[in-house]
Amino acid sequence: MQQLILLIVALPFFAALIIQVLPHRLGRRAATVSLVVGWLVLLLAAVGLSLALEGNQAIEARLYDDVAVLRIDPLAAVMILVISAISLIVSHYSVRYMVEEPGYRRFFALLSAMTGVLLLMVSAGDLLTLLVAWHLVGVLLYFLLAFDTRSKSASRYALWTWMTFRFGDLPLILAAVLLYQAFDSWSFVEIFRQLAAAPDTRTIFDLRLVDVAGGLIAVAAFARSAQFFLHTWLPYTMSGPTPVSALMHAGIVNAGGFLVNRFAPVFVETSGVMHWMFVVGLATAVIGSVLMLAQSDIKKALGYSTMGQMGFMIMECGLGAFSLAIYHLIAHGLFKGTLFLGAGGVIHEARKSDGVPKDPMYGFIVEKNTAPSRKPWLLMAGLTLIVPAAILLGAHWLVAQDFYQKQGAVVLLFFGWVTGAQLIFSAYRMGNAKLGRLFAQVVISFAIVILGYSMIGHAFDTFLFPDEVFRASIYAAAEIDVLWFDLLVMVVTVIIVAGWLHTYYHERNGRRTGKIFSHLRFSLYVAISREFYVGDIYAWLARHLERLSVRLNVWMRWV
Amino acid sequence: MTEYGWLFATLFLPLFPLAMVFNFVFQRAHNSVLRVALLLLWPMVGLWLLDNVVKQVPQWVMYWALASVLLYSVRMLVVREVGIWVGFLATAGWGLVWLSYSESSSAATMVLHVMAFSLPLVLLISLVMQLERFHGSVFAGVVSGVAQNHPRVAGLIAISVLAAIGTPLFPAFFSMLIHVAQSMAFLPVVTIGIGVVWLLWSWSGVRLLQELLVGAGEVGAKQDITIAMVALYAFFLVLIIAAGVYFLGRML
Repeated sequence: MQQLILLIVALPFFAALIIQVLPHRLGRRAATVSLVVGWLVLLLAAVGLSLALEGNQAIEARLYDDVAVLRIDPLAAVMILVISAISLIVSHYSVRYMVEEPGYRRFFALLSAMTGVLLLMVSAGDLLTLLVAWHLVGVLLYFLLAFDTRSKSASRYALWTWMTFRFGDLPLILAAVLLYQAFDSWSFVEIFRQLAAAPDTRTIFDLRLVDVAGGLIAVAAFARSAQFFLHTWLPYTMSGPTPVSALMHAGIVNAGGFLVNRFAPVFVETSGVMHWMFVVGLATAVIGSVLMLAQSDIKKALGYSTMGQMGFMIMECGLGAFSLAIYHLIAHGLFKGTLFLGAGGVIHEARKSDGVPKDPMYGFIVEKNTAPSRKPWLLMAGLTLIVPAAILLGAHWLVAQDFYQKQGAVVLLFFGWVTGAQLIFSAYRMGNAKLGRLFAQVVISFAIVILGYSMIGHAFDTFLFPDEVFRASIYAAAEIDVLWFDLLVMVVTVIIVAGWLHTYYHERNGRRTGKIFSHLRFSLYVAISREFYVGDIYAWLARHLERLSVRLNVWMRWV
Repeated sequence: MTEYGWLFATLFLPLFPLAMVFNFVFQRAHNSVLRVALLLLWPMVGLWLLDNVVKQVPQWVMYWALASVLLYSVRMLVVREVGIWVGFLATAGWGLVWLSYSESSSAATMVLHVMAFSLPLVLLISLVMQLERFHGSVFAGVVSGVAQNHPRVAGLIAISVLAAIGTPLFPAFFSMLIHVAQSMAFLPVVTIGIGVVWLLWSWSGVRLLQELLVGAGEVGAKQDITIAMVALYAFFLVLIIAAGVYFLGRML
């Protein structure tokens, strides 16, 4: 079985080497090598996952003592399958998409190498291998994003990505060194075993090791998953080839969620780190979604959408729903990959027809359409609030009846509730003549999604973390004082109910805003359109550091 | 002499302001063999002094070394002349030896740390000489689009720069990791400094590559090195990786 994991990791590197070393003989067939190896790896990944599903012990291959360890446990098995599948789809898409690009073979060599490094990252059984792979993902992504060596802009934005990734590498290095120094081993199994036995181990400045290491790992995850303040690279890397954007948004950016899951035994002992993850994730989810709505460029909007989704994923981790974050990253990877690969087609279609819906007033006056009838706003607001809540509660009651004991799960329920309500509100605003039918379709779709989400989420939970006590302790690590939690639940419920009633009322009776609110809205819009000035601040800092560098060099005569 | 021997050593494991001497000499040396010799031998003199002459190094020298390394790392950010950049990176990389130096440090270990930076820079200097053959000088920004006109040289330059700035699996990566681990054990503030230095190298290295490799390139200027030369460089790179993994990787 050791050969299985060695083959999974080694084959893509082998393909990259063949493509790079024998370019002239291969010609355009470079893609074939990549595809054949891709299919082979996918097949082996499926075997690995089936073995893990059968409940076999983790497969491990040790190349040298407790470093260079490869390991397929349930988390690695799932991630290997996801990476190999997404990589294969992207490779297939690239065969024709990239055919007229110079450096066709180089692209496939880089793509295969990136697949290999990602597989190495998720199957790393020790800290050192993880560090190497984590670092190399950033290196290869830089070269993929700056693939067009004639384009200065692609290269400039690839540099942003490179710097953010490097910034994220450092905390992981520090955390790895701290864990190694505390437990005298690089092996995850050994470190986690010792950590469980002595969770209060102290480190620098007499701080708790788990809190320092957990905090550092969280920052590394934030940088890789484009959390607020470390997100600017994500929406601006659209100058790279579309397949790279797809791979990045469907796979690479999800690494933060994987990292948190890999270090679950560390996070489970932390006090406060997961709360910070929740706050950062929530802020990113909200800001990413707001920025997405303000974009006019489809690829940039998708970029900010990914940022919002990554925020939600990190937030799930902060709530203790680690396995749900894995399910989320898979689901998001698949739909975002599809959207990116389809973006070119959408742009092509939009050139023929802009697809902007006709103004209802135009329809009424010119086309003589009858105005759609509106249902009573209070009834619709009530349905908007009650129906999603009922579906969510019902679905979770069916899947796991102890669900309500977990604070994190209750918070997620709120997000589901708001999302469902937004869905119904959107259907209401469409003003469709057949509102009842549309409403039923929306509700049924929502119910199917929620039931599926709950069932698969629960299945992931038991598969990734089979130990029930450990599962419960992850949720427990994310909890806050019960009194405060209940108070927050009540306040948030009141805000949501009042917010929707207010929204429906104004939707029906027209919106009136005072001068002060108009001014505030305008200021907010300006800030959003400037993307909260985060990119500007970084550019300002970089400019000043470079000026300092020039001055120092001039003073010291460049020696 | 032995009491202040470390002061002489700061000339050869260069710390600011004495590092200006090395950079002055390195920039005036236009012969490639001389540059390679400087990169390989200059720090060896410093290591010899540390091993044979120096009795004790005051602890504050460590902070001086960190400040010097930071200074040269910041200065590297805007350097576009590859020769100057190599000199600055060598200064910063060798200066790190002071951070993990103690009386019990073995000479062999320090040689490995120094070579982890010197060898990729030797490779880079020899590639720069190839480019100078094509263009006369190598000033990034003035010479650009190297990836279009000289793809093989461009690929090797990219890998050499990555090797020099501490990318896995090159020896400089393991050397940096060892410096981080050693400083973390006794002075975490120094560790943060090393982290910042590493980040600055990444920034300046990739900026240099961008200025040099990216661009439309000159029309009709397509020349490149032979496949045999590429194979030779590749062999040398593989050798560096193997040596780094074997000698420095083992020390972790």
